[in-house]
This record gives sequence, structure tokens and C-alpha cells, in this order.
Amino acid sequence: MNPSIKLFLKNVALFLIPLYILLGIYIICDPFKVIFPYESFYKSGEPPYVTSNRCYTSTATFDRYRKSNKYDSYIFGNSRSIFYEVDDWKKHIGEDASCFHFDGSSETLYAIDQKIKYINNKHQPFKNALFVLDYETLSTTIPLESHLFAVAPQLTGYRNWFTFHAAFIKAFLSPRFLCSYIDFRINREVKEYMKKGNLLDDRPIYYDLSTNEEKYLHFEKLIAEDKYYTETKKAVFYNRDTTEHYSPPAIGDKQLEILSGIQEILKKNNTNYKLVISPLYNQKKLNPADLKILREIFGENNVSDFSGINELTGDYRNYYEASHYRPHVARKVMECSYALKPVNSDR
Amino acid sequence: MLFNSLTFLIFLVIVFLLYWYLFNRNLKWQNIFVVAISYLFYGWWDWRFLLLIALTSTCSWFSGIWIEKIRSAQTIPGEADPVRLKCRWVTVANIMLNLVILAFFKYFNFFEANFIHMFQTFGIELNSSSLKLILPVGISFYTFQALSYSIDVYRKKIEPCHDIVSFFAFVSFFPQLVAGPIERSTQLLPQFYQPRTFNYANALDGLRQALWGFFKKIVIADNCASYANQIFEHQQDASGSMLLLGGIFFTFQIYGDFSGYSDIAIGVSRLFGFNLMRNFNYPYFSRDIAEFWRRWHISLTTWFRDYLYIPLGGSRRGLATTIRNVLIIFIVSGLWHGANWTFIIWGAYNGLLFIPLLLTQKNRQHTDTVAFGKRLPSIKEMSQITFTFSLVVIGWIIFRSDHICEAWNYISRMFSSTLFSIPRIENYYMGHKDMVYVLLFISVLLIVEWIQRNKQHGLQIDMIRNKPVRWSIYYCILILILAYSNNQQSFIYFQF
Repeated sequence: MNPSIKLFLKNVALFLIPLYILLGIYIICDPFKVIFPYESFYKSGEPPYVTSNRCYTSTATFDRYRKSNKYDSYIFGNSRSIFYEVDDWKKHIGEDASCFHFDGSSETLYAIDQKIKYINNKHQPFKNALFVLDYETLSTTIPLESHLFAVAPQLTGYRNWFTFHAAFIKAFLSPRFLCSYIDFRINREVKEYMKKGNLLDDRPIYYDLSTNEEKYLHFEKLIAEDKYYTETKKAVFYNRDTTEHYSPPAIGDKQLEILSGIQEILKKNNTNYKLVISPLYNQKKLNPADLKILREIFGENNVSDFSGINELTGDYRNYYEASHYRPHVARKVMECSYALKPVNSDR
Repeated sequence: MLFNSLTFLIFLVIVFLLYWYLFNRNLKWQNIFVVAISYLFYGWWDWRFLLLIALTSTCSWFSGIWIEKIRSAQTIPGEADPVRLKCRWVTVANIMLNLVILAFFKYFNFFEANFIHMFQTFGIELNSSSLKLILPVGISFYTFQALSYSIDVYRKKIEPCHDIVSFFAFVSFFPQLVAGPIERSTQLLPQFYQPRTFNYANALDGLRQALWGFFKKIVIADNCASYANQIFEHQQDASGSMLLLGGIFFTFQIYGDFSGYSDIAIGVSRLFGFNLMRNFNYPYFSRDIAEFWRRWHISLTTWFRDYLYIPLGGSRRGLATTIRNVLIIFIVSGLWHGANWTFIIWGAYNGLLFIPLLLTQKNRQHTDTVAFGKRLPSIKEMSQITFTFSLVVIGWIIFRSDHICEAWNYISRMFSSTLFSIPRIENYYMGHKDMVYVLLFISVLLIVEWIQRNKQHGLQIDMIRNKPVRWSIYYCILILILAYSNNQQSFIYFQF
């Protein structure tokens, strides 16, 4: 062996010693819960502390319990879909349904497609489906790379296994996360600076393992006690004007291909399904061209649009912040959607 | 495969070990290995691109062999001219073929859109073809590299290459394949003929250079990009001072991005025992635009000088021809960057800035290092640097804009009365604190590069004898790179 290469490699190896230590900590502590298997990724009533990849936790939970729980009904969508509570949904699809929240953070059309194919390939019953969509979900057809939004490798047949784990290692090695994580591990306290960028989270989650449902009951408790909408909280609700604005068209050739593929699987499984367009605070109405395409593919009565200016989007108290609406809004959306009733003026 | 990805780092470690331990005993096998890993690296984007690069390499290699055969067949004295003519035809055919491929993939959509628009003005409606081409990554870089070989063989500057493996390795050498430096056959090709030996000091400095390149890309360019993008996107609501800030952010983004790539490419090549040409020489410390172009994208500027400017007559046929030639190379250089009128106008703008220097014969006034042997520049030098930098910023605004009108509006808004107002960043998705950090990093870059302006790269710090100090500097840079590595973005010059 060339001695100068040996010396070079030795020096590089010595230089990287801190990296080996950090990687050791990463593997042992598994802060994002993506290395070892877990019976449950969340403890009900406790905060998750380190924000996990919801797509991964949902998929791993589905894999672990799909046979024992005999899932046959699924709710798809981004974090907004977690407020569509299973108990409410069962009123429309039947109490005997075995429901599962198959959501992901910043879910994309690509990820929803992967999940549907996954369920289909596993020959899991597929009686009911509820799709909670919006412009962002519909417009994205490529996998996101950030560790919180990357698609679970199980869904892609492990084709993205390397990039998935690389995203987590990168996230772990970022000084901002490392400092927050080490501080948290020492003091067992989530400080304000740690919450920036969704690194750590101290909000307790009420979690139902059988349905993978998360509830933020403490928010509702604070609202009931009139303590939630403080001046700071209210500041995020920016003013909107009274003219109707539309999102740019989200559905292109790629989306069309994915949506048609999803419809085929739903048809093959004789699935009873509904697509709802979220009532977002920004009051931007889904582009009429997109709505037309969705209705053409999935049927007039299966697609309901709640975006734009209407009674749900008018009141800021229907929202936790400018992005997520509350469970009672989701309940109303489901009622209108299944009863084919319009909200205010538009369905 | 992006340099700033974990995939590339793992690829690099594996390739490095195999290259020096498994393939170092046989030059032929080592070159075959270089071709294989370069094709793997390039095919990572899209395997179909490999067909194009293989075609370019094969045609250029054959043209060299053919020229040699034509020359060796010349037996009768006095028949030199027909031979020269035949060689010229072979070279021209190869150049045309390569340029047609380049033009087809790079400019088809542009010319089609412009033709449709032109006919529309005469009331004739043409339908857009359904053929929308994907631009193969780095096609302009490897095409120009292959062309340089063909021309050099014709000019007898280099012997035709018989070893097809070495030639394929020369065209596809992975560190510089997609964004340069555009190597000359006279410089790089002979390095594939000789066995490479591992040089500890060279490899170590290569690592330092690559680290500095990563810093420029991830910490400077990617951070500047997020601000520049927002300001360019919301330019209609921005004040003049904000637009100026946007222009400055883009100026550092493109420098960090492109020179960062070059540093990584040169550094990685040194790990494998190759020396690539320098591509950037601290261009933002230039005292006039001519000096700027001697220091920015050197491999392209010298390519145009040797293969276009000089054949057109260079500066030997009077001032008018010189001015014409300068304008031609700048406009062609603009067009080389992409199929958009903004690039052509940007090229013309730089050409026009050059003319006063030609007229006053001051275009070669600054060929030395600014403030050589001094710590700080003089007031005169400082004002020259600031003035040149301002002209460059305006050029980059044109370059960055999507349309000519957008560039014009941006610049005219920038030079409004609000140029002297305090930039208000509340309207953007950016925090004061983060912006202060970015400005701080830009300052660090400028200070380090000023101190190191006589060195090959900013991190050439082997003069610091104290190892813990050196290592602390590396760790600081590494921590900054890791801190910002989640904001991973592609390199701007890949699209060219």
C-alpha cells in the first residue's frame, strides 16, 4: 500500500472522529424513530418531542397492525386531514368500518398515489376512502426530500431507502437540531428556540393506535376556556379581501395520469370514496379547471369543494392558525360532502 | 448526482478507494474505471443523456483519427493544400455535428417560440410542436471540450488520440463534466496517457479546495438564493434599496454557486491525481470589466478567445474589427449560457462595457493582483472595484431575469428615489436575523478571499503550521456546511 495514501486516509479518518461519535449517538438514540421498530410511535397524552415523519409512522403502523385490525377504510391527506375524526366519519360510512388515518405531513399527490398502490398491492380491503385535498397536495407530483416530508421507503419498494435515511442523518447533524436535541436530552424541557422549524414539539397528542388518529384536545380545551385566541395567536390571522381569488391550475399531465391511476384502483376495489377540497383560511378557491377535471375523473357527486369565501372560511375561530382548521369544520365538511349539501353557496 | 448530496460523498469514497487500490496497477484499467464511474455519475440524472455524450465522444475521436489518416496518406510533395482542405472538411463536419446536437437540444424550444411569435405579428398562426426537449445536463461544457480537441488536432497543437478509452475519459471526466472547467485537450488529455501517482500534499489541498467550494455553494450561494428568489419574485412591491439588495444577493449566489462548483471539481480531481485549469480568480476584486472577464469563468473566456476571437482576427485588424470581434464573442458567450434573450442582452451589455476600454487602450491595464503586497486597497483601487462590481450587479440582474421587460423594470425601479430608503423585509418570508447571518457570511467570504487573493483558493492555509488551528478552521466550515445543508439546491450552471 502506498504509504502516502495510508497517511492521507489515516488523517482523514482522525479528522472524522467527531462524526463517528455523532453517528453512534444517532443510531443508539434513534431520535426520529426511523431505525428501530416501534409498537407505537406516540404515547397518548404526551408530546412527541422530536417531530417525526408522519408518512413513515403511518406506514409503519399500518404495516404492523393491518392484519390484526383488518383495516378497510382510509383517510388520506396532509396534516389537515388529521382533524377528520374517525368517529365522525363512521357516521357516514357505517359503524362497522375499520378506519385508518393514512396521512403524511405536507402530503403530495405522489405520496397519496404510493399509499393507494401499497394498500392495493397488499390486498388489504379498500371499502371506503376519504381524500382531503388542496392546491398544494394536488400540484406536487414529485417526492419531497426533507426528512419530515420524505415518503416512507416501504411505499416505494425501498427504492428511496438511501435518500430517506440520508435526509434524517443530515437533519440530525445540522447544528440547530443537534444543539436543541442535546439540550433537551439533558434538561428534558422543550425551550422556545427548539420549536423553530418544527425541530421539537411539546404539544401533547392524544393518540389512538388502532386508527392512527391524533387529537389535539388541549387546544380545544383552551378554546372552550376562551384562553386560546390570545393577541399573539390572533396576529397570524391576516386580513383577506372580499373578492374571490383562485389558485393557479394545479392539475397537469402528470397529475392527470396519477389521478386516473388512483381512480382505477378505487374502481377495481369497488371503493366508496369522497374527495373534499379543504376550506382554507387563505380563501383561495380551487381553480375551476382543476375542479372540473376532478369531477370528470371521480364523479360529480364524489368531489366537494369547500375552498374560497364561504361560511367555513370566514371565521378565524374555525382555525387553530392560518393553516389548520378545527375538527368541527372537518365534521361539517363530511356532513355536507356525504349529504351532497353545499356550504353557504358552494359545494 | 449532485456534489452537495450524501450520495456523491459515498460515491466519492468508494471510487477513491477502488481507484487507488484496485485499478492503480494498470493504466488502461484505471482509465476504463474513470469512464465507467463518469458515465455512472452522469447517468444518475438520466441514462438517456449517456447516448449523447457517447456520440459526441465517438465523433470527435474518429475525426482525429481520420485527420491523421488523411495526413499520413499524403505522399506526393506539393499536395499539401488538398490534404489541408480534407482535414478542414473533417474538422468542420465534426464541429457542425456537435453544434447541431447542441443547438437542437438547447435552442429548439427557443427558436420555435420566437418563430411562432414572429409569424403572429404578421397575423399568421403557427401551432407549437409537441416536441418539448429536455436539456441534457452540462451539454455545453462537454461539447466545447470535445470541440477544443477537434480544433487542436486540426491546428496540429495535439497529436490525434489513438486510445479511445483515454479520449472517452477526457470528455466525460466526472468532476468537471457538468459545469466545467472546460478543459483543453492539450492540458487534460495527456494526463490520461501517464500513470497517476498519489501526491499527499496535492490531495490534501484538493480536499481543502473542495471544502471551500462546499462552503461557497451551501453557505453562501444557497442562502443568497432564497433571498434573491423572493426579491425577484416580488419585485413589483419592492423598494429600490430592496431591489439592489436582491441584485447583490444574486451576484453572490452565482459566484458562490459556480466558483464553488469549480473548486469542488478541481479539488476532487486532485484527489485522483489530475490537475484542472483554474476557472475563477477572485473576480469581484476586479478594477475594470476587462479584468473581471480575465478572472470570471476563465476556461470559457479563454476558449472563446482561442477558438473564436483570434480566428476572427482578434485585435490585429484595426480598432473597428476588434470592437466587432469583442461584441461577437460576448453575444455568443451570452447565447452559450442559454436560449433566452436576457442572456444575449447580458452578453451584449458586457461587450458594450468593454468598448470604452478598447477605445482608450486600457483593456490590459490591470493584469496584476490588486493591492499586491498591501493589506488594503488604495482609495482609487477601492472605488474602481466598487464601480466594476456595480456594473457586474446590473449585468447579473439582466442575466437573472426571465424576460427583457422584467430586467428593464427591475433596473428602472431600482434606480428610483427609493434606492436610498431602508430596505423593508417584513413583506418577505425572511427574518432580519437570518439575513444578518447571510450578510455576515458574505463578509467572511470577501475578507478571506481578499487575504488569500494571491492563492489558488480561499482555504489554501498550509502556511498555518499549527495543526489544531487548521483543524478548528475546517471544523467551523464543516459545521456551517452541515447547518445549511438541508437547503440543498442544484447548481445554476448545470442548466447551461
